Formats: sequence, C-alpha cells, structure tokens
Amino acid sequence: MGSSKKYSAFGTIVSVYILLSCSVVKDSDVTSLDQLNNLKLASIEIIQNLKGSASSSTAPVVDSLYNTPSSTTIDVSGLINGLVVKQTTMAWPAFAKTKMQFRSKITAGILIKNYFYQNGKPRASAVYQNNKLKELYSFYYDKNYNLLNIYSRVFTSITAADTVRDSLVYSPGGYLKQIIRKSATTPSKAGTINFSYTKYSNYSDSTLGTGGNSSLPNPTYGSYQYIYGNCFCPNSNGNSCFGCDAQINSSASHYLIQNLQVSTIVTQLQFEDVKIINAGSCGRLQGSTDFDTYYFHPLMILKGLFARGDILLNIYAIDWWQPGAVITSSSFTTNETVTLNFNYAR
Amino acid sequence: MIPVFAVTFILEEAKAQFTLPRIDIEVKLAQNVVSGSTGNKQTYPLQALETTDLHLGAHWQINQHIAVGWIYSGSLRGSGYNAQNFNFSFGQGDSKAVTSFSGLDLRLSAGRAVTWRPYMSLSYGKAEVVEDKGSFRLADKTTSVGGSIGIMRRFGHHLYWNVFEAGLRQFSSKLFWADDGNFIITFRTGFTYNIGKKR
Repeated sequence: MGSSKKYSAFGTIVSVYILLSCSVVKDSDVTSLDQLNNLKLASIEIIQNLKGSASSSTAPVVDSLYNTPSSTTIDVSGLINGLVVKQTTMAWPAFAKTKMQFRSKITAGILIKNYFYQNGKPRASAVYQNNKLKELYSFYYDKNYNLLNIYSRVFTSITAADTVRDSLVYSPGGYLKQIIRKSATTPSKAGTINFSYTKYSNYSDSTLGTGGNSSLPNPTYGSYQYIYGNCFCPNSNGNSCFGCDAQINSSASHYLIQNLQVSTIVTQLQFEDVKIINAGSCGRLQGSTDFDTYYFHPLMILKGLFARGDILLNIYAIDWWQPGAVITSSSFTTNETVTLNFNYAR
Repeated sequence: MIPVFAVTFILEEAKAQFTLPRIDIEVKLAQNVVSGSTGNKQTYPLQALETTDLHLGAHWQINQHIAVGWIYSGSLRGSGYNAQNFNFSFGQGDSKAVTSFSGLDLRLSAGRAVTWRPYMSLSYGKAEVVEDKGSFRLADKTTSVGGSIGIMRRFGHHLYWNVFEAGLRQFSSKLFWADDGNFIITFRTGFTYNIGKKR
C-alpha cells in the first residue's frame, strides 16, 4: 500500500511536470529580432501564372561569409571606407516562357551574385552568364549608409557597358523626391525625375505613399507617364501593397505589387499585371495594353535591406517594368502574376 | 493528447488521495485574438493573430466561492494577418499561428445554489506565441497576467455549461516582430465537471 502511494505521488509529479513543460516553441524557432535579421536566404521559388497557366521553378541561394573581408569604399567619391564581408550566389533558373527577363537579353546559365557590407547593406549585385559579367548594379552610400547613388551597367554587344548613374535626392522626411540620371553611353536615358507623396486614407500610420498628389505633375520618363498610387489591394488591404499605372497616350498599363515582409526579411513579393477589373480602384483598373514583361532588378531581391525599400522598388519601375504594346481591342480573361517566395534558413 | 492525459491522471490521483475530493475539471474551446502592430506596418506588418485553443483546467475548491488551479491551453488552429486585413475574418490570414498558455488560476464565483452562476478569474503564467512564415517560425515566450469574466449554467450536481467567458491577458513584453502586440483577447465556451461532493 505504501509502495502504491509512492508510485502515485511519483506519477503525479511526472504528470504535473509534463503539463508544465508543454511548449509550442521549438529550438529552431526565431526568437529575437537579431536572429530574424540574420536569417540566411536559402532559395527563391519563382511562380509564374501566365494567361492562367502556372509554373514554378526554384533559384537555390548559397550564402558565403568571406574568410578575409574585402576592403573598399562605400561612397561614390571613394572616401569612406567599408568592408565587404559576404556574398550570396543565386542560380537563376531558365524558363521556357517567362515575364521575368534580363536587360542583357540572357536566358540561361545565369548566376546572380550579391555582395554585402558588414551591416548587411548591399554593395552590389552582379549578373553573370557562363562566368561573363552581363549586368552590374552598384550601391553607394553616405557615412550613415543612406543610399545616395545607384549605378547600373548592362554589358550587351557593345564594348563598353551601357551605364546609367543615378543620384538620389531625399526630402527632409527621408522620402526619395528626385532621381538625377546621367548616362554617357546612352544620353537619351538622362534626365531628372521628380516624385510626389501623399498620406492615403487606408494608411493607419504616418507613412506616406508614392503619388496621389494632384498639385504636382506625375513623373515622366522615356515615353511613359507614371501615375503612382497606393492601389488598394483586392480586398482593400492596407499599405502592404503598392502599384502604378503607366500611360501611353490614351492607353494604360497597370501593375500591382503585394509584399510580405517582417523587419528586413521579405518572405513574398508578388507582381500582378492587371488586365481585368476585380475592384474599382487605382491598381485594379483594366489595362488596355498587351501583357507586360519585367526586367530583373536587384531591388526585387534586396529591397528589404534598404530604408523604404517598397518605395524604391516602386519608383524603379522606370527600369524594370516594360508595359505591353498598345493593342486595339483586348480580350483578356485573366491577370498575369509573378510570385517570388523567399525561403530562409538559420 | 499529453495535456489531456496528464490532467486526467492528476485528477485520478488527486481523487484517490483526498477522501473528500473538491476538484473540478474544465474543458473549453477558446478563440483568441493577439494584437499586432499599430505603427510601422511596412516593416512590421503583423496586424493580428487569431487562434482557436483547446483549454483544459483543474481547480481545487477551497469553498463554493473560491477555487485555485492550473489551466493550460494550446492551439488547434490559427492564422496570422499581415497583408490580409484582419477585420475579425477568422481563418483568412496569410500565415499560420499557434498560441499557448499555462499557469495558475484563481476563480471567484457565485454560490452553487443558483442555476446561473457568474464567475471571474485571475490568471498568471507563461504565454507562447508562434507565427509560421513558411520557411521559418517567429516565436515569443513571455509571462502574462490577466483575467476573465463569465457565466455558467448548472446541470445537476456535477456538470456546468460555461456558456460564455471573455478574458484579456497582458504580456510582459511585446512581440519582437511587431512594434506593438502585447495583449490577447479570449472568448471561451465549454464545460466544467465537479468531481467532488456538493459543498
């Protein structure tokens, strides 16, 4: 009987311990902001839904920390020292049919290498094909790592790279208000582009969104007028989506970007080529051009690492967005989407 | 399953050891809403998490008005709302979520004579919140204190139907992946079974 009581007491203690120790948190979980921001990008799943037909492919990513950091300068004048400490190498898959293209016209054997400073800010993004450099995007900062210049170089058939140099000018509130673009190789690309902002009613905080300011003209670049907006998402979501109209005479093309991000970690980015009306608002207006294509731009995979990266990606549609040709009558029955799912590992 | 087994085992053990058992057990379904960001939603987009929990508890009745015990709850399902607006549209989120709570509970209630028996409780313990983002999970463990009010309906000497219970618990720290998010609202319904004699 005494022995039975002992076993009962022991059983009770064990049961209470089991009950108290039930935890839904696993050792592999991310439990701090530091751990979150130090997650390593492991792969990007690229899902394309083209005219209702979906396909997906995965770009594996290798994250390499340098044994010996590379000393360089972070500013365009070459005066502020910095250390490049790691790179990521991404094998971009070849697609039989794709909206995602490269400005250098390469389609296979593509390797994207991104280089990073010790604080995680990108130094550059380089696109290679069969070990030949085809595109190079370089980022330059001030001493506080505020992004001030972006150089884009595309190596095509010409000997010298097609080079575009952007100087980024910010308002006192830290919003990009102007891009001063110069290009010695392609003078027609030069120009000054101004951007306006407004606070949209569906923004719950003091964040400003691009466009929507009727007192300022819409930015123009090349043959397009860009009408940026907050572009309410399909179910009137908040400021997690953004988009743009590009107008060519009386025709217009529309894109919408939906974004899932926490801290600097982007988990999903979806580009939608809006051709049919699902809800009557900016980004959901029916486009009257053929389907658009998108050029790869490093902001598509690095935007989370920049302050107000959403705005940068939206504004840099002037480079990555290629609105479809004007067509006389449209019979679109679906929108096309490109979804990038970012997978991370600790 | 382990918590169910554990609670059952404890109760059986307790029953065997007390000649006049004064224990009740409760099984409830709980719907929780965890608050999210109220500020910078571009960097911290989590608007809310909602989970449905199985709530288990056991109380020792000091008298017919006061009972102390242990409660545990764990999620059966859950959703996180980031790009999707919450608007109390349960199950429509863009991520998965799990919550749990275990801790001490003090229950104050009206006497057993009445058919409709209002009660309130105060709880203190460990709260856990997890949001599954696909390739990784964000998790937080924190202490939490809170209370709830409810009403139960008596069916005989042993069984009570906890018709409705509403509670609020405050976390000791906010979720690190939201620039706010430090409380949880809970609605429960379920049953309480009194093992002991009427007292």
